This record gives sequence, structure tokens and C-alpha cells, in this order.
Amino acid sequence: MTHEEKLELVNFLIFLRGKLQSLAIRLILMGEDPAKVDETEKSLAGEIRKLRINMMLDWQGDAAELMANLRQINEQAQRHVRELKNAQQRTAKLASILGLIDRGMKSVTDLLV
Amino acid sequence: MNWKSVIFLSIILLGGCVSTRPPLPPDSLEQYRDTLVDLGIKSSQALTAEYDWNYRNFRERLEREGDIDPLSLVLRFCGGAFDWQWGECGGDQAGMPVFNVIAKSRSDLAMLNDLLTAYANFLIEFNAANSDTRANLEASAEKIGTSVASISGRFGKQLNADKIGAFSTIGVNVVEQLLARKQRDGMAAVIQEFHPGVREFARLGSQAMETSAIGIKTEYGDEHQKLVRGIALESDGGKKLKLVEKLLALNEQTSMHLESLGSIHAAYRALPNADAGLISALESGRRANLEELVGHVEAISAAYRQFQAADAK
Repeated sequence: MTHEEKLELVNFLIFLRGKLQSLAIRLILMGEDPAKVDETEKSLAGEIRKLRINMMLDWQGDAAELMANLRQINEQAQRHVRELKNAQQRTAKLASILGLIDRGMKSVTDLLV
Repeated sequence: MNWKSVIFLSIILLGGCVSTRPPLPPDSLEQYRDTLVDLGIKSSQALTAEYDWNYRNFRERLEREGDIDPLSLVLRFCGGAFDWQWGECGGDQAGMPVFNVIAKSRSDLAMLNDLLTAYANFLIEFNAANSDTRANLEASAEKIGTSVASISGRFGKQLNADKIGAFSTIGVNVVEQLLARKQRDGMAAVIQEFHPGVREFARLGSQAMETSAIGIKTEYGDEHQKLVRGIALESDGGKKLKLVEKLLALNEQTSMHLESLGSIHAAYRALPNADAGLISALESGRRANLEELVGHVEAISAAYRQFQAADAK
């Protein structure tokens, strides 16, 4: 994995974390409990932290496949976030978003094994 | 052939034997060295700011959540006589505190910057070399050789040792060889031999700044959310305003920090061009064109002045 690929991956995870943080604030403004989003955001922050350390200590992996996977997950998650505003089954939609994020994080964790 | 023709021919032949290469333009090497010293100071300051911010967030998180593995804070002595590391020997290093890794990066970067400065100093000494300065020159070459060995050890596979040119062989033994090369082909040819190494070390420097920018964005990610959440939940107008002001100050500080890192990154990227500028200056006899590098280093200083002013606020 090249330095540029590592940079792209970590920057993407930071972007994803920002989206989760915004989602938590949006839920608060809607009067919903953001606890589940907070929990996922905390896990993602932990992965970013590990990757940041790994990046400083030099790490390796297969970036291209992982990035494609993460981009796909993000597209699906963003679609669900857009639907969230008017959704009847908000809890189920939220669970789908968090499930997608979990899948993305698992890809990153697998990379570090 | 008459005697006038013989004298004329002799002058032409003699001219061919004496080096016709132009002398080094005045102050070019010193300006190069001074710029590298500035770059080293500023890049080290940048990682210190990242370290401080991470340590501050680490303390706040610890006070708030109290969640820490105490063993991750213990030093272990796993190998050589003077070696140490945080956490278990052979354990997962991803568990160690981030500020410790930043400190290590800062130390590695300082070593890299010292090497570049030592290289510029070596060029200054080498340019003025004579029989009296030979011992100094050998000592400088030995110092650079030791630094290169340490850097190769520290950066491991990130450093492409095949691409560092004369840096891979420099030491006491090659000084004579380099002097002969200078006499035969000129100073530019000697600098050219080191040029691939300068390019490689500059690449590592610019990568360190990219990694530090990741760190700054992460620290911002940790810190801004509690302010945004406070703004969303706070009903008292006065308290909300204070939180907004804090967030705006944090935004200003973060953007300035990223701007500083961007300037340092650009300076490292300009370094190979500056080195090539020295070579072409030597070949043409004109003053070296270091404006790009000097300009970037001046931009760093300006960005830092702004950053420190924002920090003081």
C-alpha cells in the first residue's frame, strides 16, 4: 500500500466520522437519542486512531479493494441518511446506516490484522 | 609553424587543461543551508503543536471517561542495551498513546532535517576544500554517513535506499574520491551525485507533514463535537454564544495549523528544485535560484505568526 493510498483511506474515514457526528447532532435536533450513532462514531474514531498510529509506524495492506468497498458503503449510508428525515421507520433506517458503517469498519480492522 | 603560432597554440592547449568551470555563485550554499535550518525548526514546531493538542485531548478524555489500560503507559526494555518501547514487547503498538508516536515521528523528522543541514554544511566545506580543511571534511562526511545509517534504520521500507545516490556511500573513505571528481568534473557533478538522496529525503519530509495533517483533523474531530453538541442543546443565549465563540476559535486555529503544514509540505516539495537550481547555477556561473524554496519557508514563518496569534487569543 503506497503512502498516497494510506492518506486517501484515512482521509475518507475522517470524512465518514464527520458524517456520523453530523448525524448525531441531527438526531438531537429531531429529539431522538443519538446513543447508537455515538457508539459507532466512537468505534470509528478508535479505528482512525489505530490507522493514524499505523501510518506513523508504517503499515501495509490492499488499499484499492478496500477503498472501493468503503465508497460503496458510504453511498448506501448517505442514501439512508437522506431518507431518514421523512422516514416512518426511523429506527430501522438508522440501524441500516450503523450496520453499513460497522461493515466498513470491519474491512479496516481486517486490514490491520 | 612560426613562434607566434606555437605560443597561441600553447595558450589554447593550456586553457583546455585548467578547469574552465565557473566558480560557485556567492552565498548560494549558505542561503541554501540557512533555509534548510529554518525548515527544520518549523517542521519540528508543527509536530510539537500536534503533540500538545493530542496530549491535551488525551488528558481531557482520561478525566472524562477514565478509560485507560495502565500497562499501555509503561516502558519496556525488550532488546538492545539502550532500546526501549511503550507497551508489551512484541505487542500491538497500535495500543500506545498517540502523543508518544508523534514524539517519535518528531525525533525521526529532526534527524532527517539535521541530515539535510549537515549535507548543506558539507557542500560549503567541500566547496572551499584545501589541504588544511581535509580533516574537517572527513569528519563531516563521517557524520553524514552515520546519520544516513540511522535514518535508513528508522525509516525502514519507507526509504528507498537504492535511490539515495552518493548518500549511500558517503564516509571518510570517499572524500578523496569526491575531491578528485570535483577537480575533474566540477562541483556541480558532485552535487548531482547527492541529488537523488535530497529528492528522497524531501519526499519523506513532505509525507511527515501529510501524516501530521491527518492528526490535526483527528484532534479537531475529537474536540469540536462536544462544542457543537453543547450549542445544539444549550437554551441559555449567553452560554450558547460562549460555545459558538469557542468553536469559531477552534476552527480558526485548526485552519491555520493546516495552512502551516501545507506551507511546510510545499517547502519540502520545492527542495529538489532548489538543489537542482544549485547545480544549474554552478554550471552557468549565475546565482542559484532558491527563490521558490525561500518563498515557501517565508510563507511558513508568516503562517506560524498568524497561528501563534490565534493561539494566544
